[in-house]
Amino acid sequence: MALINPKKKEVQLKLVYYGPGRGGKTSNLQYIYKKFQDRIKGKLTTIKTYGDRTLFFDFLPLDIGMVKGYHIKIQFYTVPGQVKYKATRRLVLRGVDGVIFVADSMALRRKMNIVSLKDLQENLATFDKSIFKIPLVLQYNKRDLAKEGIRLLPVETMENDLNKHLKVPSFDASALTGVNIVETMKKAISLTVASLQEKLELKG
Amino acid sequence: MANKNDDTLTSDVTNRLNDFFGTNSQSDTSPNDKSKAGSQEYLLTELNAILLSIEWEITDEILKGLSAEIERLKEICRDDKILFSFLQLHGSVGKYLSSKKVTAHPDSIKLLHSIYDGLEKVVKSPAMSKAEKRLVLTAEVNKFKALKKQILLSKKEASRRMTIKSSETLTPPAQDDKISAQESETKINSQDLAVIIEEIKKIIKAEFKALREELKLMNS
Repeated sequence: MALINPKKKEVQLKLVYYGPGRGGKTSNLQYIYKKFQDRIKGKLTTIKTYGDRTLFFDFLPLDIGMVKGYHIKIQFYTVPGQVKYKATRRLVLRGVDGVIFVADSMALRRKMNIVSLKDLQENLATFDKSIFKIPLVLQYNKRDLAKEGIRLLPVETMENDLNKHLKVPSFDASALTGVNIVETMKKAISLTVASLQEKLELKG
Repeated sequence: MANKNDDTLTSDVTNRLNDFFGTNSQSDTSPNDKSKAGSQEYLLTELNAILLSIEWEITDEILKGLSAEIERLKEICRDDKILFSFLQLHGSVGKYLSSKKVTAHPDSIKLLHSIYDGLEKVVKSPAMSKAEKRLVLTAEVNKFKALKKQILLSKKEASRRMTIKSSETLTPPAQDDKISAQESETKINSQDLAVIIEEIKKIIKAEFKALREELKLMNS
């Protein structure tokens, strides 16, 4: 849940990158961090405990400055995609204000995307949050693999699989080349801040 | 009214984000952008996709796919001893994963990727000499051997711990319970024996396989 400090005129948000393992959640944050390192005051912290995979989480604090008289600070997290780490995924979702679901465009990952989205829905429900109400953005990552000859799911199929009922903003992206990585983040931030409109007015 | 406020807030946030990230935040081309796949590289596409899938979840379906893909590639590459050996290595790790699944040694997945990287390097470099290719293969064979050794050591350690544990739990039988105690001891011993026999079988099998691979390498 967003921390709003009316005295300090400060808002702290928590956004989580969610999705199947090796889908590119960490790569999203790494791209942002590398590209805007000069503007990002905090550091990207990655806790790695198992080979080169993220088994706990990545954390990136981002201070975007003033909006409507409020100082907006955002904390980005990624969650581990591996099935057996469901407990950690749930923990990272505690107090989440917005979600970026990073789906893998590889044809072989179709089922995993669906499983992971279902997992998100279940985990949000444990915190009395609905996947239909929370600010959510979908990202269809790894579109660049098409030129490598790897079979990708058509965007229409991914929309049908994942976004048919949610009807949330979605982006084709590539964390490797940076296509739509910033756009995804921007959309998620603006949706999340907009969702706080009422609270900001009441406290302001 | 509320919608109007929403719109102002959204546009304020958008403006702020544009200031922060720059309006032209649209993609750029990574300097590490990979070159287009050649026909040989394309040969490995499915294998690469399967290996990535294993990263997410180890399922029977994916492992069956891996085994089938390796067999398919072996058929195609049977005249190229180096490529064939790479695929054999993949096959061995794949079989190990099939039997151990999520309990498999964490480095086995890493090894699969490492073998793939070696294979891709060889496939992508037609100008590479046979000796250089052999060097790449030998490096992977050594990694394979090191992991095998590590697995065997941890197995032995686990088996040693189990033996100590079972001997600790076997308290001297009371006179009246002599028969039932003897029975349970026999039961535990036969279980242990089965585990040990299985282990020995696996070790011998693995050793023979490694030897065969080495012989093939020496002959090639």
